[in-house]
Amino acid sequence: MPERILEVASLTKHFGGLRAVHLDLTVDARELRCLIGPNGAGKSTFFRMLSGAMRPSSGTVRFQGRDITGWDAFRIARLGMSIKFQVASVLEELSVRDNLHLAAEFRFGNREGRRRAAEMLEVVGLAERAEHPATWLSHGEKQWLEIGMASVGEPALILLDEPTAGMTAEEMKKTVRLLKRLNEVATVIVVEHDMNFIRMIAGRVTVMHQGEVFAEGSMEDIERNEGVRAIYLGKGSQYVVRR
Amino acid sequence: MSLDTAAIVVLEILNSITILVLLALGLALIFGMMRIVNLAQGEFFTAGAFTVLTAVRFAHLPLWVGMLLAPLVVAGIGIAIERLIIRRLYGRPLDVMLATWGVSLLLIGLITVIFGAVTQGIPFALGNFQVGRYSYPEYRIVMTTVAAGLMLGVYVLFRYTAFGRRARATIANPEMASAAGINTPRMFMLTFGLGAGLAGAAGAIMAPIVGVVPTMGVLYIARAFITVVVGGPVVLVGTLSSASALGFIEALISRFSLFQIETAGHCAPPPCAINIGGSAFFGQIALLIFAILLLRLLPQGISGFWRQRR
Repeated sequence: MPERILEVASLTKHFGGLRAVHLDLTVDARELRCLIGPNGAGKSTFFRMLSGAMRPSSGTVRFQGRDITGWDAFRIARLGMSIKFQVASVLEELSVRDNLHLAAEFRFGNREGRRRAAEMLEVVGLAERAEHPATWLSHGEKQWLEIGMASVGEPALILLDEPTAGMTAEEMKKTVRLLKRLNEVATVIVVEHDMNFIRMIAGRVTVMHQGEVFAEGSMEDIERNEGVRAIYLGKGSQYVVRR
Repeated sequence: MSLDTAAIVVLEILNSITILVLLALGLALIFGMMRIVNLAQGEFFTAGAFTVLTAVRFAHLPLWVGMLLAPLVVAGIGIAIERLIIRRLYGRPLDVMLATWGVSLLLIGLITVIFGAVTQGIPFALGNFQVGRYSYPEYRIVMTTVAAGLMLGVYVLFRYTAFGRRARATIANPEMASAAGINTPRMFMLTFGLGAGLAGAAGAIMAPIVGVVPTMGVLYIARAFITVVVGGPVVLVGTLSSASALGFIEALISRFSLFQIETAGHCAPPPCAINIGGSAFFGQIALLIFAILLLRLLPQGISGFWRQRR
């Protein structure tokens, strides 16, 4: 039986009277898990609680068997969980190389971090852009830089919030290859809206709806699931949210 | 204007710029970079001056030892205040203002209780040098050198060291920095401590030329804020350019009388007149007016204007 890298139990977030998230979830080591759900399902809030960017109201998060609920974000990062946020979060003034170096430094120190950053430049295909300030990058390139920053520290678990937002079909294919490569050494959880992307990833899919886990299974199972179709997949690419 | 007068005017402009740089550098980190409206910044300056006073008067240490101790002591005070108070108030700018105002009053009170509400001088051995018909204090040249050194140090620290990269990352995007494993609370604390230490260094350097008194910070905090606001968001470029512009105007107006206003009354020799310009008082008024004009024209400050233009 594979090791469980992430165990989430009754993890809850309240915003005033609104319960934004309440869920249980387990992820095995080396899984490539897709997390989908309509807007407002609580996916990003869930990610932010996992990574320590937001404190949960109640519940527990166990990562590699250790209870990390309520830890500071940088401690969780140092333990081996990294996140790419939904909104672009690169340091615009620093060069592409320095952005990666910064993200590698805490784990490998200055010199080794620089070497790892150079390697990662090749992996994400930004070697030619290495010395440019990050602000010059296109939208897709910034996403790759962020994926690179999230994985350069060799984390055991990588959380990616909408890594293909704003990408062309060609860029998306490249991203799928990149994720599969990262998945060879790390567990990856990815939040996405794009069904083509999810099909290409072909991992296990968890559907969130109104802050809870609504369904879980392979993409075929999910696409056959009547309830999921009703809340999410119905009418082509339009979202249909039951209220 | 003769050559020696011109030289003296240039030296006085340099001195005005030096003083503004010294006052503003620490605040440029704390307010310009971290966006903390620290109303206790003036008292960090005071604390630096009193550290020197204590070292020289009571511990009988050499002046330069006191001046080296001051930034360390004040950085310690700054770090303590960040940990105890400001840390709890990030993202609440009004509360920070209120809290730091309280800290300011508390520090003034504490220093008054310990040292008394009297103005004390710090003796120092440097003399004057001759520029043609004028003599000019050597110490002012020392001050300019120290200010340049501090700016260079801050530049190297933020540009070329791991600490600098992490601090810039933390301030540009704390959430991202934290996700990249950077201990952001620690970086905030150290950057604040550095800003406090720089104010302490400024107070120590200026202690011999100003009266050392518990309320001295109040005299300088306004000029520090004005310089930082006019300078805009880029710390070093902003501080240097705004200190240069404001210092230039301040020194010129302090030196030269612009015009006279005749007033009623009896004078010998008549008529009665007030000189506008030609004193430090009018220099400061000119600085303020010029700062207001600059901010009207460049609301983002000087460095913000250039950054937008790029």
